[in-house]
Amino acid sequence: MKIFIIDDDNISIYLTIHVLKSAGFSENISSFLSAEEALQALLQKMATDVPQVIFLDLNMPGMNGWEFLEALAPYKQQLLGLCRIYVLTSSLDLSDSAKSEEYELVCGFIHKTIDEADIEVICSSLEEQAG
Amino acid sequence: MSLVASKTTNSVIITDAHGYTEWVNESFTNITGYTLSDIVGKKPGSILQGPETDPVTIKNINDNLKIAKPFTNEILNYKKSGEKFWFYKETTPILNDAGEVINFIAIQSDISERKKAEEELKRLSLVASKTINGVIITDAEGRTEWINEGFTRSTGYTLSDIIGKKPGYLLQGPETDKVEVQRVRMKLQEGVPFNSMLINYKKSGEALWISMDISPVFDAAGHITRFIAIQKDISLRKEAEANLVKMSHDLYQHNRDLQQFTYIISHNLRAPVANAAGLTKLLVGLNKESADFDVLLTYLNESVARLDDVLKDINLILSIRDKKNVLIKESIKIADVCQQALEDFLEPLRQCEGQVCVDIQQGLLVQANRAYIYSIFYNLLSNAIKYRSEERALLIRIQASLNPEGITIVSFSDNGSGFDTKKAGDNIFKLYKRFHANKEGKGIGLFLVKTHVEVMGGRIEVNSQVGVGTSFIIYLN
Repeated sequence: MKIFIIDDDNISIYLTIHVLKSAGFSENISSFLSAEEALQALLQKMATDVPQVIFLDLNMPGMNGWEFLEALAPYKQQLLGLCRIYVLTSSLDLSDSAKSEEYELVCGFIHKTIDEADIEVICSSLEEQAG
Repeated sequence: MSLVASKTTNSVIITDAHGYTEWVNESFTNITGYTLSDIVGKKPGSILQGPETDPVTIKNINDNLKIAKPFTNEILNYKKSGEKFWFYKETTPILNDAGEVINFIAIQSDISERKKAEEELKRLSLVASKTINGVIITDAEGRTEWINEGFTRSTGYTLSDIIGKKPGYLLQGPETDKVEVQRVRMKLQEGVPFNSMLINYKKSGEALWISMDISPVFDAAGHITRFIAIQKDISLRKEAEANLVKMSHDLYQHNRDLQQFTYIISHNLRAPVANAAGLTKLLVGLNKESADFDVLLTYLNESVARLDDVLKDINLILSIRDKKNVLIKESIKIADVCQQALEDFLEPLRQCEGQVCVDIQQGLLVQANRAYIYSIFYNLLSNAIKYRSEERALLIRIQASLNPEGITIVSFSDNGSGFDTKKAGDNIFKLYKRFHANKEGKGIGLFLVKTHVEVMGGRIEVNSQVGVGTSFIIYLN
């Protein structure tokens, strides 16, 4: 399974990858320190090889998480059902989690640091989607 | 003649040369209720006059009768019923060939209605003249016919200043709301009573807020004959309103700043803490000898350092903001402080071959906090160097001067990479907002600059173009 992690914090990326690998979730993980980079990479893979899961941070300089989601809006139809985006943020702000529900492509909202319980939830929804 | 006299609707009395009644017409009886037999042989005055008849008028009549010349009067008379009414009297002596008076003819018309109206008017004008509010009466076209004392007291304009002119012509001025003036015009045409609040100008040029109640006056046919405007000075009220609005605006703004501040801080505080928590959790399960252990420890160290940084930032920012009312300001030479800041960047400037052009008015002094001015120059220089363009050598221009209104203007511009002002929008001065992802920096510099400027009572503006450069303008009192 192909995974993208988009986060400007390198330590956070390290932690996320560690947890994902320990849980045996996936070995194919690409990380991006900027949303613009990630967007480029994603658009290139759009036809053939879309990542199944994207972990998206919200607070980033330049293009932030919300702007990334806005930029994906035109491709929403192509991505729905193929790519599940999970907001992964340190923010405890309720308005952030409420806002994330407005985006169809966002399938969940996870508070850092991601743990095994979060991964289990993601797994079940993936199985549901497939089955 | 007697046919004319008998049928006219005016009342006619004919007396002899001494004033004793010889004949009266039908109208006299219709109006007064007295028949000829009631009054014949008597002086009309003795029948018609009464307690409220003006003695001055009576004397005037008697005097005029003696000199035997035609004269007119208005006189209060009494009907047979005791009811009062007003006569307009024209008295004419009839002379014989020898020039001696043989009769007096008095023709009277009932002017009670008119008199009533006059009384009413007197009463009203008493109200109008004595009220402290300003009263303007205009004709149907809006041209002033009359104003009261209150108006003159309030505006300084006398009747001679304003008579015949439309009040607005004298009273309106530069700050008068044109839209409201239009609305008033329309309402006047509609012919309904209405209220308007406007800025008017006294004769002295001083502006004041007034609340005006305007009422049209109609004649019997329903046409507008006049407008009455009653004006009240509401300047104090308006001032209080404006203060309230400003206060709530300030409070709202302050509140929003605070909310944003706390949001940002909690975000930037939580991030390193979340990391530290995650790292320690992993560390717990790990063998001390494993390679991962060292990596994790290093990251843990870094997370704690980041946390500490944010706390230091908060401390710094709060200490500036708290100082707003007790800030120490002194007279400082901008050129000197600027020079100090430049010296701290001599090495970085040399390394990037950057040049600084300083153009500060000789001996320019400003009331400000020395440390803040230093910090402002420091942060702006730091940014200029950090975000310089790859394509050309860095050139910085610093100018400072005093404008005619006593405001010190400091301008700081560079030819660096610039940023997209449309995209950045309001965020340029916001805390922890960065616009270049690949550069070092927390995004606190400009926030500090803005806070420093504002705590000193000034303001800052920025302009930038990608690929051209950026310029900051700071206004200090």
